[in-house]
Amino acid sequence: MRDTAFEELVQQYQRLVYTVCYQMTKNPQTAEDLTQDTFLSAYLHRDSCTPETAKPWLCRIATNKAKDYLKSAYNRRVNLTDDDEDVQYSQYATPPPEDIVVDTVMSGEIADVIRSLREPYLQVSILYFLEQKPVEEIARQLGRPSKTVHTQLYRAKQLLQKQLTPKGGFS
Amino acid sequence: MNLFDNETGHFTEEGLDSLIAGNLDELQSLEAAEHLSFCDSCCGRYAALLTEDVLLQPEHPVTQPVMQRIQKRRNAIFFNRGLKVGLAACLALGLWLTGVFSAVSTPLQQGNFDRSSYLLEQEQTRIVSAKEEMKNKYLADDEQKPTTLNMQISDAVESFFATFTQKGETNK
Repeated sequence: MRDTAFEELVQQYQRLVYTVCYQMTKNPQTAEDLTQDTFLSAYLHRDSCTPETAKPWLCRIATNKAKDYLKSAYNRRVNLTDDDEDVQYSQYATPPPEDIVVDTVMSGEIADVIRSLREPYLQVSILYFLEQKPVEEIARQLGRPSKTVHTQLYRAKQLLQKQLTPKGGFS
Repeated sequence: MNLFDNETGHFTEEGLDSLIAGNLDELQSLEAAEHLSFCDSCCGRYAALLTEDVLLQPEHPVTQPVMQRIQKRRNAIFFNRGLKVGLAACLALGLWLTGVFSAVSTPLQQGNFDRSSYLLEQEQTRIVSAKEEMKNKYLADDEQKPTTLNMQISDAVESFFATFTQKGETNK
């Protein structure tokens, strides 16, 4: 794809990419920055784009850029919040949530808490905590990248900690 | 509102509508972006819903800054390549000027050349002399062979006939 053709592509799809980025981040300035990043990545990989698939292809790149931004912003915020108030127990005073789950896996109450999680944490948690499957197998079974499964399990553990702490007296 | 279907793990219709309407909170937006980054079917459904009437216009133009950044990136790549080539050329020139190449290559080449020529000449001389020697030996053998062979043949024929004649007389 030549530069002029790519410039036309930018003009044609700039509103689409900006909309995707804005819907994810809800910040006009961030959305504009991510739109530029999206087109820069698209330029570097422009050989893998065909005119028929340009729209979903650009959507995919834009959501990836938004995901990276949201992930770093969320992690920053959650880490700060965890230190302050959300987590009521000390990290060193209680075992990690997977140990808690393993120790009490026989309890139907804990299994119920896991089964009450919502997607995208429900299936990965059932497969990991209750069926004891490895991450690679879960990723293959659910058609998700391993890295995403790791992230979802990490967040599922946080959700479980929050739900289990007041009930079970693990603090 | 369920963003994802608990059975299939894909976006629900109301989840996609909420995404389009911008009603998701931060965690839900992150979950949506993560799912769209690997799920082709949901990405296709989402792209199909982004029709002209829901598209937003950025406040600032996008095309020009994007093309400028592309140009800047291209210049940086060109500069880096030029820098690498220049450094390699300077290094080679420095080594050449300090005589590293000549110190390494000249004695070896000269020595190898002289030694090879000498060995080749010796080998050629040896081959010529061996050829001469073989030729002389062959000629000498050739002169003696016919006489010796003829004599051997005639001796053999004579003894054969003698034996044959003796047998015939005995039978009689």
